[in-house]
Order: sequence, then C-alpha cells, then structure tokens
Amino acid sequence: MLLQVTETEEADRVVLLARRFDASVAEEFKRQALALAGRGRRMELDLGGVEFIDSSALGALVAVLKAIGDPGRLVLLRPTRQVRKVFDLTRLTSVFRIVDDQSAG
Amino acid sequence: MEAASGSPPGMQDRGGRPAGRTLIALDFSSDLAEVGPAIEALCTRLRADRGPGLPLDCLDRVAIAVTEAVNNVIEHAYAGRRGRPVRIGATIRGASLVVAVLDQGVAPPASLVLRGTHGPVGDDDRPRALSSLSEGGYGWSLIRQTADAVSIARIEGWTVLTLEFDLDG
Repeated sequence: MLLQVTETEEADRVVLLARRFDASVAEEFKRQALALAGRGRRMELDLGGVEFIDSSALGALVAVLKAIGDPGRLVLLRPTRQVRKVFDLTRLTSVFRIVDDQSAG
Repeated sequence: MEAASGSPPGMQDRGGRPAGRTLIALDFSSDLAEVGPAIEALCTRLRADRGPGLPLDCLDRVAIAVTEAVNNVIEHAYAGRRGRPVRIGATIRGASLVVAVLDQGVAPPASLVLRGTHGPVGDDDRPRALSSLSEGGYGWSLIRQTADAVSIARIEGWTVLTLEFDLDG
C-alpha cells in the first residue's frame, strides 16, 4: 500500500507510506493521488515518513497540484530534512503550501 | 546489484591527478527499483568511511545528485529500457568524494549537463502561476546545485558522468 487515506470533515488526510518517494513509485503515486484529487476534496499529504525525495516525485506532486488547481487545497505536512532541502533547492517552496506541524494542517 | 570487478573506464587516474582510494564500485541494471538500494549502499559506505564528522548536508547532496544522475541514465540514456548496464564508482581524493556514473546509452548534450537552465520554477521566489509549472526538468538543476563539480566524457563506449563533492561541507 502506498497511500493511507483517512477522511475528515475538512479534507482527505493522506499518509504517503514510501520511505523513498522516488522514480520507482512516482507514477503509481501520481495515478492514485490524481484519482483522489478527482473527488474535489481538500488534500493533506503527510510526508513525515519520507526520508528521501527525488525529482520524479516532485514532478508527480506538481501534476497533482495542477489537477487540484489551488495551492490552498493541497497541503504538504511534516516534510523531513531532505524533503525540505529539495523543495528549497527547486524553489517549489514558493508554490506549495508546506506545514511543519501536523496539528496545524 | 553486485560489486563491480576491475576498474571501469573513467575511474582510473587521469590527467596526472592522484587516483584516490576506491570507496565502492557497484554494477546494476537499468531498472528504477535498483536505484534506491544502490544509493543507500553508497551512502552507508560513505558514512562508515568518514564517521560522524561527515555533515548530513553533504550526505544529502551526494544522495540527491547521484540519484538524479542514475535516473537520467535509465529514463533518458536508455529510454526506459531495462537490463542495460549501469555502474557507479566512488573514490575518495583528499577531502573530495568523486562519483562516476557510467552507462552505455545515448549521452545527453554537454550543454544540458554543464549549463542548462535554472530549475523550472525560476531563480527567484516570486509566486508562480500553477499553469506555468513544469512537471519535469528538475533533475539536472538539482545535480548542478548539489555537486561541487560536474563533467561528462565518452570513454571506451561508456558515457562517464563525474560528480565531485567537497566532503568538508
């Protein structure tokens, strides 16, 4: 299982279960996340278990954000050190809404 | 994945520089599922060799750059075909780590490797229109930002991408 989804009143809370969010899982993530995005609900994606992210995964996240169409409706939660660094390097921090504290989603 | 035998091209002494000390040599096939284990083997070996003095930032930069380089080999040089040879050779030279990534596929244009453009988002922090965002093209930008030096050569039928990292951070 790649995504663990819990529905709350406000959003779909999605935990990404891959320790490595890389090219080997990016396509499958994109397929599942786009299907979720089609439901039209706000999505909170918990990245707290992701130790490593690569550019293929970034591309998949951008595709999902574009499908959702509103940066306020896709929130990335609890990025780890390496994930935060890759977002900083690609300046995608200026595009995605990123929240460090899980309770603040 | 197996330890590479012999010395693949691009890892020998060149240009009168010290040849350095081999840290690890890995042979695997062009399958995206092989990339993670290879990168983790490299990082584990590097951490064991350098001890706790190795900055985490340095380890992150090595993992990012080498992952992107190997992804490019599989997705572009080999156009997604599986079962083709990929080699990673890592050498310590003084205070630097030199990682050679080798393949027998189609070499990327040198201009893309050495210059290219900024990342798809741009070079400042202005908010972007979602529609202008690219879903790809982040790889080379990340490599150039995380490696201290990048070069590419074609040697004996292999494309050799060489990434250098300053281990002192």
